[in-house]
Amino acid sequence: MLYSVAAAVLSLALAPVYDGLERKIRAAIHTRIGPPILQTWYDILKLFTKEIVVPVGGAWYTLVTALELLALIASSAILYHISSYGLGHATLLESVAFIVLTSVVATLAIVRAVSQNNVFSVVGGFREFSLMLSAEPFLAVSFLLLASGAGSLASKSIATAVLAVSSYVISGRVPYDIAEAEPELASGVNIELAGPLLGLATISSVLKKLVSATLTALALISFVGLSGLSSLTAVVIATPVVWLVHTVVSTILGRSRVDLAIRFLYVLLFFLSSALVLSFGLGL
Amino acid sequence: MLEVSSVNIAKALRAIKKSVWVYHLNSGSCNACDIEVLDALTPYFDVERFGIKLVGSPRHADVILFTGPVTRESLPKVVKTIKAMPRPRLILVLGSCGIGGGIWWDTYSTLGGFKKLEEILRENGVEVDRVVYVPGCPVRPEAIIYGMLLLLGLVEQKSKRVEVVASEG
Repeated sequence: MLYSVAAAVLSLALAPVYDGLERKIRAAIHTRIGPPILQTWYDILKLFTKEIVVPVGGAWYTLVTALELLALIASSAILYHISSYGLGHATLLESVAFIVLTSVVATLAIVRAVSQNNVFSVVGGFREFSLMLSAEPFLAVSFLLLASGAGSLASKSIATAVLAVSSYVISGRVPYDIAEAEPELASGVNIELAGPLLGLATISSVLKKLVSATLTALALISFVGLSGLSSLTAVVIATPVVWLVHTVVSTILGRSRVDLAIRFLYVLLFFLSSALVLSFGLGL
Repeated sequence: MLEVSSVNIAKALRAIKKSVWVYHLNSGSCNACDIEVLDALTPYFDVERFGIKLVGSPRHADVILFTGPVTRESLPKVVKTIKAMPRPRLILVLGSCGIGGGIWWDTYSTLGGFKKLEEILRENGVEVDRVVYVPGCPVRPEAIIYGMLLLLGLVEQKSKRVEVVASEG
């Protein structure tokens, strides 16, 4: 338990550094120098020195922004707790708690967008909603299947692929960053946030990436069959590697049309899910 | 109506030196300066190495890249946008039109540049913490980057204002 808490705290502190590394690697792929590795920390620290501008009645979204961050910290803590004994041995309560927290994060983002009294943020909220509907069910089913430890190697591999794709989507990277696709779209769930509130939202977006990378790392490490401290260490080490893969994928994919990105996701997840059902049905 | 907290301007200005989020505000320019702004923000010039990032909302911005002579039509929107920015407010005024109205300096339909806008902002209680003017028609991307670094206090100003009085006869 103590090691899980230490791993969670370490990863939370390192997440903005991983994000800075992502920006640096993206710049390298573009053949440019790019920002310093600590840039995301500089951004967050700067936002906390700026003026807070809260529209009247905006206490709601201050609360919602804080709750969203808490839910993300809790979901990453659960993931590190599960890491200490492997995904295949997670209890039903832990698995359901993680799924519920992931849905709560997406729902709170929508609530925040709608409570801002700005039509552009409402538009961003609907985009967030469509993303949630397209990825969350697949994420939940594949995570529960892997956590139950049931199925053959083939079915587990397909479930891991479904989990990897849907966790990439919830990380909010290109082309699934349509909820807050700044600066291409002049609308998004964060449009009215300023100063420290925007700082909290920025930390939340970085933590979403951390949860996404940890989730995939956890699923991959479960194939190795490690347990205890070695499993936890392997997940902590594999997380930045998965983050790196996400970086390269997002840089290569580039921006896509909102409807095309969702349609492509549906087709991909439909094929993977069909393969998963077949492998379970045929007992492969 | 807004609820606004007080802010330590000096501390915030120090933090902005390492992280600069810019918002592009066109007050009715011919788009030449705007094309140069977009050029300056491309990977070719790589302004992200200075921590500069383009944002889509004035609420997120530290610096406004201001172009155009401020047309009468755009004036209320310009004031509203600058007011929406959280303090400290930094403005980089770009191009001849932004600075003094350019060839439209005395036309009925424009305000005639940022200097006159500054007076209106002051009357409306909108404080601007720092302004740097970058001349040019259109302004060059290198000049925009230099102006930005000057605005942040990262480089010294190379040129100085010299007043020349023509001798009689």
